[in-house]
Formats: sequence, structure tokens, C-alpha cells
Amino acid sequence: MNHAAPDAGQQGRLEELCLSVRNLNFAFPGNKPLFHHLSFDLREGEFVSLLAPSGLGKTTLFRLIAGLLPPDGGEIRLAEQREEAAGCGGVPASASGKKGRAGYMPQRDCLMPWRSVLDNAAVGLEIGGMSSRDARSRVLALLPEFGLEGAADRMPHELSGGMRQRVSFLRSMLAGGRLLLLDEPFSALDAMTRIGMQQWLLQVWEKRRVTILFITHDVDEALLLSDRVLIASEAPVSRLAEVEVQEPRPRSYDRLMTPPFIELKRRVLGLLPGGIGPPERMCTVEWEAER
Amino acid sequence: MRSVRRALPLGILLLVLAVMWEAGTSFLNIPHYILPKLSDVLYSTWDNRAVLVKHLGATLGEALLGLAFSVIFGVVAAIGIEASGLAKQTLYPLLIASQSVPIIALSPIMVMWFGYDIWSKVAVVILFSFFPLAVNTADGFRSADPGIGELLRTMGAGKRQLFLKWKLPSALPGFFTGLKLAATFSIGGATLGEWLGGETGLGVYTKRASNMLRGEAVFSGVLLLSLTGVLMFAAAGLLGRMVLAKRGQQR
Repeated sequence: MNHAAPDAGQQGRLEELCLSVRNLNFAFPGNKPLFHHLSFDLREGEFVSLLAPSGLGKTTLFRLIAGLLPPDGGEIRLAEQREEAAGCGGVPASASGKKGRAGYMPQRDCLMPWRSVLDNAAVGLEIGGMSSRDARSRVLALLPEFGLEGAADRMPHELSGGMRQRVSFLRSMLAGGRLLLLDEPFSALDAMTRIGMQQWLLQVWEKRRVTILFITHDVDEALLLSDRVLIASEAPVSRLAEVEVQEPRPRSYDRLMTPPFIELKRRVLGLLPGGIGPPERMCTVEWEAER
Repeated sequence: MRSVRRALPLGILLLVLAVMWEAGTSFLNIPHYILPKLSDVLYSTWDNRAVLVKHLGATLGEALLGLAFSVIFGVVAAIGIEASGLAKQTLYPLLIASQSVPIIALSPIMVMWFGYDIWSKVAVVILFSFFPLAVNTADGFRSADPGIGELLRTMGAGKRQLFLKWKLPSALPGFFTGLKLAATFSIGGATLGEWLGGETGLGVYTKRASNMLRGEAVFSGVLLLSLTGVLMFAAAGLLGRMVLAKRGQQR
């Protein structure tokens, strides 16, 4: 069943897969196709980054996975939601029932200016049918862990960019359950805030182990956060090159300055069109960190 | 304290204008039926306070009743435009175009339809107040951030939830913009309705006074009407600010 994805799909039995994309075809009407027979998988509890130049349809891919757009062909399967999803680190799936659903964190935070931090984060639970009182108390209990302690009643316009992204992340996580789609969540932040947020995400994720598919333009960010980096380089996207990052966790930002990481970065850049380094088209880099 | 300091220049300007009015009419010997002295206007207002309060009450009642109907009709129309793609393509442009129709020209029709009692005045008020409410509320719906809607859709929100949790709160700033305009227009609409025929109201009062060339009475009616219009505008603005206070500065 993995015949279409020799590079990106051989790591697991079906029941361990959180997301399985098979032979995906998609084109906007009247435009050149964006995806042609694209297949890839995400295992339960994996952090995978998707690295691609602009215009290759990364956000469109997310919209397809999130169910906002119907694919022209192929199949997108999300693992069914379980009430006590083991892979979700104790965050029960939303009350919306069986249908697999991805939590989508858009590029802009899209917080509702008329709702407080608490009510913004709870909106997915409310839509899933939870009473607003239960939703609020669930969110309230999670705020400290997400670096939002004491911010429950603050309004979005009173928050810094980093805080807004934390609320947005928490909201998506509560709404999605097992798979989280993060679309360049830190791209609008200044460099210092961004590093802080990357480390914050590392901490939260290393504790929770939700499955994350992370879109970014930033190679450092991808390598720092991910178990695997998927790289799309040509349109239409039909295969994804893959680089595995076997760096032990917990990770920290200083690891980016070590020679093995720099070597890894060079390889990733080589896989991107117009990148530096030798033009290796498809390769899997396995790398053991120095201890 | 800050609001007092902000209002100070305006207060000084009003005072200067009042002094110029009073001094100008005295020194230039302007006849009272062209421009009465401010002091005469104020004296006339005080002198006829019982009658003026009765007329003001009638005008205000017509304006508020008409405004209430306008809010209902305007919001329903905006929701209709928002809910149906066909209405958005047909009704909305029509609504925009209809704003250039001279409403004053339509007002006599309301008298034909509703007679000389309060309902013709209410109808004229609705003519004036409905459009700004409908258009601004519809614009409020249209200005709803599509990113939020999309996000809620990924969470499985249905049409009803999208409307209640996304569209409706998004439309509130537009609604209050419309309400401020409509509140001001409602006083003008009620006055016009009274001119066209009626027994009570400040419109009737100023028209009668004008027929009798009683300048100071006309001006005291006009002053009261202006003041009421400003207060209606301020009240609508205050209501809007109270409801939207938590959102902070609108982007």
C-alpha cells in the first residue's frame, strides 16, 4: 500500500498512522495542478515539518487535510478520534464524535476580538457540543502549562504577538485532538519572540506528544522542532524528499549551532530548489547526535 | 478630567459663537424675523417651556418608535442579504442605489398611506433610518474576518454556529455605526413628517411660528431639535462604546 510513497511512507503499520495521504490530486479550477499523486504518512505522535518554497501549495495542502477543500482525487485519512487518545498526552479528543478531525492553526492567529483568552481557547470545545461552563473549566486548567497563567480574562488586543500565538495553539489543540496542522505560526513574530516560541512549543510538545504537521520557511526551525522534515521542491508536488532528524529530546536552541546540525541544514538546503550544496534530489539522512 | 479638558476648546468655540450671534444681531440691527437675538430665543424657549416640552415629547416619541422599527427592519434585511447569495447580488446593490433616492420626495407618499396621525411620521422616520442601519449592518457582516470563519469550519461549526459565533459579533461595529447615523436622521425624519401635516411636535411648532414670522420661536424649536439630534447621536455612540468596550481599538 505504500507503493506510491517510497520515500515517505514506510514507517508504520496502518493503525499507528495519524494521517495518511494517498495519491492526492488537486488543482484550483483553471490553474496548473498543485499536487499530483502525492502520498505521505504521519505516525502517531510525530512532529513533522513541511519545507517548501512559496507558491507550491503548502497552505492549500493544509486546507485539504483540514477538510476545507475537497481533493480532486486520492484519499486523505485521519485516524479516528478516541475519547482517551493515548497519543495525545492525556488531552481527550474534542466532544465532536468519531470523525477524524485535524486541529488547524492558521498563519494569522485569527483570535476573535470579542472573546477573552479563555473564551477564544474554548470555542472549539463549544462547537464540539460541550457546555460553555465545562469548556471554560477545561481551558482554565490548561492555561498555566501553556504559559497563559493569569491571562484568562484578558482580551486579544491586550496580548503580545507571542501570547496570541499561544492562545491560538491551545485553541487548535483543544479543537483538533490528534493531529495538529500548524501553518507558519511564528513567521510574523520578531526574531527574539520567535526563538522563545520555538522553545515553548518544544516544551509543550515534548510533554504532550500530539502529532504535528508544521509548515515553515525556516530550515533552522524545521530542524530544531521535527522528527522528520519533508521537502517539496517542484510543482506539481508529487513526491516529498525526507530528512530524518535523530536528535535526542529534549532539545534546545543551542543544538542548532553544533556541526552535525549545520551539516543537516546544508543537506536540507541542497534539496530545496536554488539551494546551496550538491543537488541531491531524494535522500534520507540519518544522523546520530554526538553525545 | 481628561474628557473635560478635551471638551474645553469646543465649549469656548460655542461661547464665542453665542457672543457673536448676540452682539451681531444687536449692532447690525437685524430684524427679528431674519435672525432673532440669542437672548430672545432663549427667553422664548423658557417662556414657552411647557408647550415646547409637550412638542418635544411628541417628536422624540415618533423618532424613537421609528428608530426601533428601523433597527428591526434594518437588521432583518442585513441578515437576509447575508444569508442568501441571491439577496446579496440583488438586494444589496439595490439598497446602496436607493440611498441616492431623495427621501424627502417619498415622504408625502407616507402621509397618503398612513394619514395624519403618528404612523405617517413613524413611517417617514423609518424611510430615513432604515437604510443606514441595513447597509452598515450588512457591511458589518461582510467585513467578518474570513480567517475566523474558516477556522471555526475546521472545528466542525455548522451554519447556525458560524452565524452566532462569527458573523453576528463581527457585524456589531457596523450595526452601531448605522445606529449612530440612524439616530440622528430619525429626528430629521420626525420633523419632516410633522411638517407634512400634524397636530403636535416641534416640526409643527416651528412651522406655525414661521407662518407667524415669530423668529425667536422658530429658532428655539430649531435649537431644541438640533440639541436632541446631537443627544441621540451621543447616546447611540455611548451604547456602542459600552457594548464594544472589551474589544479595544477596532482595527
